[in-house]
Formats: sequence, structure tokens, C-alpha cells
Amino acid sequence: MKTLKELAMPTLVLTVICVVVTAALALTYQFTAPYIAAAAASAADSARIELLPEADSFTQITDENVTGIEGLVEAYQANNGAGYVFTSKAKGYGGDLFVMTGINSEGQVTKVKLMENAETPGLGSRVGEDEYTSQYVEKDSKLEGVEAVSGATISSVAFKDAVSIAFQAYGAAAGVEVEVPAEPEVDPRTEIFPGEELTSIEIEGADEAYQAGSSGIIIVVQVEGYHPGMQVITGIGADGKIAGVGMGENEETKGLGTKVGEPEFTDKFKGLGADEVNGVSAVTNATTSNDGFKRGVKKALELVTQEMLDALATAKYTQVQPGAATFEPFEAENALEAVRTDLGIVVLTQAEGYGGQITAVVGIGNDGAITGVRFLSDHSETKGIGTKALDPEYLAKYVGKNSADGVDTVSGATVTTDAVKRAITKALAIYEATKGA
Amino acid sequence: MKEMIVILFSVILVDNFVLSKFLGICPFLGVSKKLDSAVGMSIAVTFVMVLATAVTFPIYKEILEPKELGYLQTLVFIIVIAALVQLVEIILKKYMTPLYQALGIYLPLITTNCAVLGVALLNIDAGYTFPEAMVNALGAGLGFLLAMVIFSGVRSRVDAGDVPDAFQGIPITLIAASIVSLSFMGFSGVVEGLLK
Amino acid sequence: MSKLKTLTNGFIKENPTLVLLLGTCPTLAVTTSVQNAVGMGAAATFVLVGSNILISMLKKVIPDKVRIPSYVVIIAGLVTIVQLFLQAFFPPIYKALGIFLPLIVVNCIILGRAEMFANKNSVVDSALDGVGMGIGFTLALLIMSTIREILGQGTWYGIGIVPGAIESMAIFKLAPGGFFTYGVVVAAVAALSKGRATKAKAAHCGACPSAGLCGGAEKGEC
Repeated sequence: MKTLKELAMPTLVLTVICVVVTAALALTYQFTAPYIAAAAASAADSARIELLPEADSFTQITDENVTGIEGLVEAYQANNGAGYVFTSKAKGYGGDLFVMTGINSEGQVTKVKLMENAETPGLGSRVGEDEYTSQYVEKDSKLEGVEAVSGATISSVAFKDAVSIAFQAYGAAAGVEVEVPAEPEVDPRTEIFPGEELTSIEIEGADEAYQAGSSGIIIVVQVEGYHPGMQVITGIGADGKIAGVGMGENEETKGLGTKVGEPEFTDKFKGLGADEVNGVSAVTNATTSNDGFKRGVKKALELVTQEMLDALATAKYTQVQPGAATFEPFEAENALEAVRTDLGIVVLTQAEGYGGQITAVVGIGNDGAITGVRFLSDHSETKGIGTKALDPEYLAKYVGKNSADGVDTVSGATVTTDAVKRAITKALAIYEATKGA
Repeated sequence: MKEMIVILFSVILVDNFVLSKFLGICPFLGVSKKLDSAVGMSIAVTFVMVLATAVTFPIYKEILEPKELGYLQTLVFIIVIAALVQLVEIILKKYMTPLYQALGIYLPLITTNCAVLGVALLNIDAGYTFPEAMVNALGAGLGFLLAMVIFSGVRSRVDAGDVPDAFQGIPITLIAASIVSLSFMGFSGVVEGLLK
Repeated sequence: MSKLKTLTNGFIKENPTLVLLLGTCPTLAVTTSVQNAVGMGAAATFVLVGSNILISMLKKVIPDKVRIPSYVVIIAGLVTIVQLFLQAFFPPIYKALGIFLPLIVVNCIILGRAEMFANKNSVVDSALDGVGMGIGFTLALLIMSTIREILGQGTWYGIGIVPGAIESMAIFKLAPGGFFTYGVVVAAVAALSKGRATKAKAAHCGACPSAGLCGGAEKGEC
């Protein structure tokens, strides 16, 4: 049996050592703690200084007017008055994305940085790259001219929104008014027949007139609403009915007369005939603007004759063989459609492109030379890349040729160009097969 | 659940304790010669790692952190681990003699080993929750086991070969280890791909 | 042993890392750059010298039964002090050493020397031994990190050495490179000291109770 001394002594010594050591550590900690805190603070500060180089150190803003802003995560003010650094978030493609924005005392962006995010690597994540973020430098709250990353619209919009939130916070923190970015303008002319190319045509009585492929005709007339100079845009489909209407330039009262241009009102016109226009219910408190608008729509309907509508049907062909007057359909192998005209033939052929089938409308003259080529808009070629090979400017190169060779390939769009050539070659083959028939 | 699997696979393959993190090298170099001692050692290591995490993690989270005594982490952890293992050894010796005979001898070897203290510290640093920390500790041990087993196979071949004098013993072992470590590097990317 | 011998023993003849093969974990982990290696060497030396002095001072007071736990507590205390100082005054090094800073506690070198030397020798001798071993450790780390940083990055202590002359082999900065370099350096030392070192090692390992902690006896080296 061990004596008490033999058991107690070691335990006692160990305990004493533990206590002494712990005390020594506590003392050391007391001494070093402030230095450690300072080191940590300066590390965080240096991340912020990266965004606002003129700053020295920062203090966190706790004012609820600032911190309460929706989407604002953190707000810091530079101690030397150089500006602010905000961390804000917005919903991107894969979830919330976080942005740090440095705004100087003049309300201009010094730098932006993409922080945590779940965007698609190589696509949405490109909003974090210099090429995109450098656009923001020196911009004010209106963020004019900031272009989205192509193919990453949602991520780009989210990033821009996050920066807008930072500006809101800036406004609250600095006590200044901030202007918001302008909403992008949408031209009603291009919205009525989406996907169709607009070709300018002359129609007496109309300020502007366009043929939208074979889908319809757009007429723009100017009328007097509440103020003069209101542009009324009317789109008439091949069936003679209204395909859509819109308001172009105008001086109408904002919030009152301008409501006439909003979808809530303009949508009511869709599918109506000339005698039904008057029956469209008016916008409250904007009677004069209303009436002017309806007059514009009715005038447009008057200007479009049955002849014009009939021409739409053959627009498909006259676009690639201008001047053709007679159209006789015939059967052809490998063609979706084939018509014999007085100037030659027009055939619709298909080929497999990058994203699927593309459909060509090819006009070939009686001499075997191509009179025109265009492609239908229902394709899935890569926007901005493959679509370059479907561009009228490029397709114009084929006019006058007897074969698809001899025209260069669009760089970066090899597959699509290849498909274009194959479709054209098929059309030429049909010409060869049926000529003299 | 998904995070647990990711943690497990990461620490066994990609961030292997021995071959990637350099923790537990001493027993790794020392005991990997024979397969059965390698396995025995690894099981003991895994056991201690999990046990150590189970005790040190709550101590840190419930006592040290809330009371701003974080600076005592190193001291407290090492004492706890040493005491814990002593206790386990005594219990094993008295109540589970066969188990003690199989594993007990390794216990003193790993008590104050970097791998055990390392995993306890890493769990706190990584900000894991308690279940995640336990999975991490288990994975660390399993990774250790994997490395040991593979390596004992490698070593038996290496020793059978003709090794230049200067390289005999530790140096050639280290070079063999570098090759095994290299092969494990091939696993990076597997874990993300696994759960896509 | 003369005072000078005590001091220089740890440099090469009984270099803790390259001959005695103690402290292998940090050797592999922090030698990716010379700056980190020097930081670790300094920190470990401080702890080593401190613990040797303190343990030697207390050798008559600490009962044999609790000597290992006592040493551990003292060493842990010293390590924590180093941790706090680095965190406060040298944050970059603190961050770079990471988990290996607290792991100095279980560095076999320190506990080994406490067992082997400090509890049997005078304070002055223990201090010298600590300094010598610390320098030896740092030396080993320097050699390893020099090789790894130059080959892996083309720099030494962050200064470009041979820009473009040798293509950087990033593998040296990674785990396999660490093992490889260590193996080669140990082999080189063995070859250069031709058995002198091995003999010393043999004497040491068997008598080293920290072999129980490091698995040295199992290595089959001793």
C-alpha cells in the first residue's frame, strides 16, 4: 500500500506545475490579446483597402437606415473620409452572389469585386473577371453603359443589382440622393413580330412602314395625343388583323398619358379588326392620349391594302428572288417546299447545323445562279457565333454564284457554315435535276 | 448527409493524413514494415482519434470558447489526450485483455503523436459541427489505415530489392512514400466528381 | 562532454532530424519555403531551450512518476506562449505554420531531449544542448526548404534565384516532393558521415525513452 506521501507528492507537484503554467499563459494572453486583435483588424481592413485604395482604416456602419437595406450585408466607412466599402448580395443564376463595392466620396465606384457565388464556372462566373468588373470603375449610381457578359445575362443582372444596392446604402450613409439605373428601352417595332427581320418599305401616308418577313406589316404614324408628336406603331398580320400595337416617341404626361403605351392597354388590341378598335376600353384619366392612339391604329389599318397582305404570302419567295411575280409549287425531293417562278425556282432545303436543323430559302435564277439566300428564324445556332453564318450580310456573298464553294467559311462557325453550304448545294441540285422540266 | 460523405472521402483519399497532411509520420515510418502490426497500429490510431475528438471537441466548444480561454487549447488538448489514453490503456488491460494484447502496445506510441493532436485541432479549425468532426476523425484514421496497408506492401518489395548503402532503411522508405503520396494525388477531383 | 561539444553535437553528428530522425512531421510540412522553415526552426528552438532550462531546473523537484506529464505541461505552456507571440507580432508566419505550430508540443525532439539530457544535466549544459539541437533542427529545415523552394518555385526566401534557368517543378512543393527530398537528404548525410552517424544513432535510440513516443524502437533502425 503506497504511503500517502508517495501518492500525494507527485500529484501535488503536477498540479502546481499545471497551475503555474496556466497562470503564465493567462498573463501572456492578457499581454498579447490587444496586439492579436489589432493584427486581425488590419487584415480585414486590407481586404477593404483593396477596394478603396485611398482609405486608411475602416469603421463599421451600424446605422439601421443603412444596414436595413434589402440585400445589404455589411457597410464600412473609411476613417479618413475616402469613401465607403459595401458588401451586398443579389440572386444570381445558382443562388445569392455577393459583391464588394468601393464607392468614393464623390459617389463613384472605385472598384468592385465578386465574392462568394454559385454561378456557372466559365459562364456566369465571368462576372468576376476583370473584363466585366472594370466597366464599373468611375461609374456613378446610374451605371450607364455597363454591358452584360454575353451568355450570362442573369449573373450580370444580379451583379449590377448588387452594385445598385451598394449605391442605395451609399445614399443612406452619405445622406445624398442616388439616381437609379435607367430601365433598358424596348422598341415596340421589334416586339410585335419577334424573330422576323424588318425590311423598310414605302407606303404612302405612313411615316414608317416595315415588312416583317412574311408575318406582317408594321405601320408607324404620328398623331396628336395630349401633346403632338405621338408615334403609334401598329403591326398587322397576314390575316388583316392587328398583331400588336405600341407607342414610340411621345411627349405624353408621364404616368398618365404614357400608360397608353403599357402592355395593360396595348395587349387589348391584339387580334382585333378595324371596326373593333373603338371598342377597346380606355385608360383612366388619359382620354385624349387614348383617342389619339386609337386614331393612329385605325389609320394604319386603312393604309394596309389587301394587295399588300397578299404580297406577304409570297414575301417568303420574293425576299430571295426579288421581282418574281408568278409562283407555281412543284414536288421536289430533298425540299420542304419548291415553287417555280417566272425568274427561276425557290426551294426550301434543310441541313443539320450545330444546334439542330436549319432551314434555307434559296432562290435560283433560270441561269443556275443563286438569286438570294436566307434562313428561317426557327433555328438553334449559337447566338453571336453560329448565327454569323446566317447573317444576311454573309449570305449575300452567295448571290450570283453557281455553287456554294468559293465563299469563305465564317471563322469560329465552321459547323454552321458547313450546314449553310450543304443546304445551298441541295437547292442547286434540285435546280440541276429539274431544269428544262 | 452529403457533406459527411464528402468529408469522409476527402480525408481518406484527397487530404490523406499521412500522405498529404504529413501527420503521423513517425508511426507510419516505424510500424509499417509488417502488415499485421500496420493494421493493429492503424486501428489503435483510429480509435484514439475518434475518442480524442469526442472528448476535446465538446471541451473546446462548451468550456474554452465561451469563456475566451481559446489560448489554453494546446495545453488542455494534449493533457486530455494523454490522460484519456492512459485511462483507456488501464481499462483495456483490466477488462478487455485480449484486445489489450492486440492493440495495447501501440497506445503509448500514439498518445502524443502529431496525428491525434492534429485531428483534434483540425476539427476545431475547420469549423465542423460535432457529427462532422467525428466523421472527419474516423476518416482520418481510415485514411491512415489505407496508407499503412498500402505502404507495408510497398516496403516488403523495397526491402527485398537491392538498395544502395546510403539509402538503406529510412531514406528508401521515404522515397517509396513519395511515390505512394504521388499516386494519392491522383484522387484530387474525385470527390467533387463523385457527388456531381 | 565539454561545453563546446554539447553545443555542436546537435549540428551534424546527432542532428535530430537528419540523423536521429526526430521531428519528421514538421520537417515535411513546413519546408515548402525557406521563410516558413526559419520561422518553425526559431519557434521550436525557443521552446526547446526553454523546456530544457526549466526541466533541468526542476529535475530534483519533479517526482519520477509524473515526470512525463509534467514535461508535457511545461512544453505545452511554452508552445502556447510562442503561439500567442507570433499571432500578435508576426501574423504571416503564424498563418503559414498553421497547425504545425501547436504540434511542436508533440515534436519528439523536445520531449526527447528533456528525457535524455535535461533531467540529467546542469542547467547550463541543458541550455547549450537545447541551442545546439535547435540549430541542428533549423539547419535541417533550411537544407530541405532550400532544395524545395528553389526547385519548386525558383526562389529562395522569396527572392528569385534562377528565373527561367530551371523550370520550376511544383511537385517539390507538394507532399511527394517533401518525402523525396527528405529521403535524399538523409541518405546524403548517411553517406557523408559514413557510419559515424549511424553508430551514434544506435546508441541513442535504444536508450531513448521517447522511442516509446515516436516509435523509434520499432523502426528497426536502432
